[in-house]
Amino acid sequence: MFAPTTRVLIVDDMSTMRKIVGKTCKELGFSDLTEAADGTLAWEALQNAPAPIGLIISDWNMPNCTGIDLLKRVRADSRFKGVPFILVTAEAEQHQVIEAVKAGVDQYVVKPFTKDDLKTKLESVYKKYAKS
Amino acid sequence: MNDMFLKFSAPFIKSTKNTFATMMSTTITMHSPQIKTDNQAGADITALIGINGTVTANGQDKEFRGLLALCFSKAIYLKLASRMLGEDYTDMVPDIADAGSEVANIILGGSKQDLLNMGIKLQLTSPSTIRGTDHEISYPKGSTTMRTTVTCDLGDFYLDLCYQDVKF
Repeated sequence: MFAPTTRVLIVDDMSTMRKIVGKTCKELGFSDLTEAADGTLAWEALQNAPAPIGLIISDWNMPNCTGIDLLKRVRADSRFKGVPFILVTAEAEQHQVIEAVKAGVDQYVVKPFTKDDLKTKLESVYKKYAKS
Repeated sequence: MNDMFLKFSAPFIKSTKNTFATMMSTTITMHSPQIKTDNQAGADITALIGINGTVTANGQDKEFRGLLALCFSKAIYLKLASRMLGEDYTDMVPDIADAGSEVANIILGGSKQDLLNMGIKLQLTSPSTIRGTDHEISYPKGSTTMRTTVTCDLGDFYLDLCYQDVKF
């Protein structure tokens, strides 16, 4: 799995969901968590982080800058394009999944999810990056 | 209860059961829905989300407006948030202010594909929360509201489903 020191950026406009994802991450061993309430704030956090962000877990549907917009911005920037990116969303329509995959998402978690669901997706992303 | 409601409510019932089973590890029982004719929430906290979009049938598109509302007593809301977050909340704090809204959002999200299969295409909407004793809910005009009492091990709450009987 990812090193416990990996800095994780959790992006969601709902504080409850940020807390749920953060709690799950802590249970999985991550200790360095940063939160942002939308894509714009997440972009600022990415640029201003005192240590590089090593994993982004973002909601899709948010005001100002959505998760898919953030993903496209991250993948278009040479500084961050290699950061693993997981979308956590209540939107599970096929065309949205395709759009996310085309934009370079590493995994897609559909709400509602369990801790094990998120763990499975994290392991999958870790394996992908461990190979490359 | 008409056919439109039976058809329209099925995806929400399925999604509500799935959401509570996954996020709150509880099995819910839904009682018989009743037509609601007033705007009283009968609750301390209401989480609501618009069900807006278009319904397609016979090659025609018509606008569709509805509403999903979850109405909780404060005690049940605190139990629900505690279960969701795995912590013990005894009073309303900012951390859990949008817990009900998130549940409504997840229920709607989980219903979308089944609704789409029925010809109802939804637009993205953001959930909101109303708090306070004796608060009212503004149901969309020209719509029917059905209230269902939901029982689970956390207690009882109401699920209001508001829909338009679109004619083609």
